Amino acid sequence: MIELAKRDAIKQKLATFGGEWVDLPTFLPAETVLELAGEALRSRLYFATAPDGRELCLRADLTIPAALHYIENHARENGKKTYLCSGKVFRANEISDYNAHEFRQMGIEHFGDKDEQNADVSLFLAINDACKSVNSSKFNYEFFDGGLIKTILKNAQIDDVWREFLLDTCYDLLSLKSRIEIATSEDKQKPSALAQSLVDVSNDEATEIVTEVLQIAKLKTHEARGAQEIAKRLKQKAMRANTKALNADFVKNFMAILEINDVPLKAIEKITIMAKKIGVDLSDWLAIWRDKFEKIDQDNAKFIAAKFGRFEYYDGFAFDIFSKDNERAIASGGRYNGLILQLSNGEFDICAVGAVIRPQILLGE
Amino acid sequence: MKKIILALPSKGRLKEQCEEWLKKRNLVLKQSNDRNYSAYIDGKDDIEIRLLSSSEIAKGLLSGEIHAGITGEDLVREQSSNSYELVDLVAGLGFGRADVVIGVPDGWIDVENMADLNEVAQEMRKFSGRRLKIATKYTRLTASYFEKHNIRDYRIIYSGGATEGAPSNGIADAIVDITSTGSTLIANNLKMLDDGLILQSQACLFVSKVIKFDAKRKKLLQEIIG
Repeated sequence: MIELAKRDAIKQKLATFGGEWVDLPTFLPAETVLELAGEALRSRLYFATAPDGRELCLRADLTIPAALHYIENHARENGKKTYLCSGKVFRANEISDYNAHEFRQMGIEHFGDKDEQNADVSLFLAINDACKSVNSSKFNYEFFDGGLIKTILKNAQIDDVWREFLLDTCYDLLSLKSRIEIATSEDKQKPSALAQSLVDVSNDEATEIVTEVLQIAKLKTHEARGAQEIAKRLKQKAMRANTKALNADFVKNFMAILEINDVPLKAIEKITIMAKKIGVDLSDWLAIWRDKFEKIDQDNAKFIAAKFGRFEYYDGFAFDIFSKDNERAIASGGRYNGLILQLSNGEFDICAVGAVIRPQILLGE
Repeated sequence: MKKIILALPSKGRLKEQCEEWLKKRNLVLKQSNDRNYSAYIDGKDDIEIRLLSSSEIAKGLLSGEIHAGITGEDLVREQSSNSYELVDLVAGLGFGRADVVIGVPDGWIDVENMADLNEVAQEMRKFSGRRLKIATKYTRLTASYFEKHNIRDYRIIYSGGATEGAPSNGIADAIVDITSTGSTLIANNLKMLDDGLILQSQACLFVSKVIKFDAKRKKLLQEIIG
């Protein structure tokens, strides 16, 4: 149990950011959560069945219910809205020494603020102040940018064939590294005769050829993935086999970027210098991050180039705060500009940033 | 009296094969009639027989309610991520063979292996905003195999039966299910992937590790195990 006085102290500090306290739904449609977070989260979710048979799950974080609440109640106004939230989230145990199946999170979810720079910094400072209000020890900070690797790959001087191949994995370090290995290999699998025959024809012609092959062989696809998608991918496979392997210098510099983990100003400068070597101008990005760090105390802070959020929806500024004696973050947050668009099926394109405090970890309870 | 609880499949070819297997150990299963689910081993009052569905046997072994039992390995592995700690696989019995496999539409001529399936899942998510749907009742085995191949952009659609029809019915894009000859997959225009074999299953004799057996029960178990 968290001492009420301490919970109130955190609440008071969070309220200085502004916004209204909201009660978020505890049960969410399981489909929405799994579609967003993926099956990897399934083993940590608690499920229930609604009387009408729909599969529900207990919320595993506050961000998804807050985003859904915003879409339902405020997205049409298209303006700024800030929710202050406090409540339990439910996740099956992953780390053996932390046995709670339900634990409290307290946080801020801030939508539609176009002054992203100011919002990012203000949110971090509010969360940090709230943590400090109940725990006077020194914290460690890790900052990262959920959209950095994507930006670099989008602009790097590499063949478009490899760009597309690598961009698909830009939120997953393991997959990204495995694709770099494939892209650097000189020993490529020879494409099939059919795939090779599609390289020099238009996409429409390629689709026609594949349709004919499928008809002759009496093979079936289905609506979600038909001859067009198959032809496109066969073509891509053949093009990858025909394209020169990724340049060794690019790989060396790109891998060096992925390894950068240093004090913030040094790290972002190193990233910018290394990015320039692969043809990417990050000077605007550097200016934005420098400006952020002018307002944020960098004691015990690091910037990590290839840190990816627990949830893929972090697509910009992001951070974790740690206390010295716990490897679990006492607070985490970040920008998730694409989430509202995704959850509203493309209806609302509204920027957002949010963060939560985990009071049980913060207070060592 | 301290008994050993032995669970056997309650009906069908699997039950007959279990009876034959027991007979080879001089253990003759007796039943008052075919429709009655109570049975005993002739002359062995200290072995309590329970005739159950294969999935109930798996569940009972994992909870320790059943001491020994014959069921498919696929069901045991599916029901607990801890199954290796909870039950001992004493012997594969050579019958009830079925492979848990991934089946994709046979028209996906660009998809031959798990790496291809991963790319397709990523593309599907990128272009349609939705994850690749896998119909299966083997949710745990599927999740663990997909994790091994680092496939993340997929969703499991629970399917309790007629799973092979899920892609053609628009319920899912691909399936994970058991197959023994592959003919049902082919009949539903599905194909297996080169590295899409998740588990080679068969009927196995399992002993629960959840409970501690005393000397008498150990001796009885030994008689069954042979």
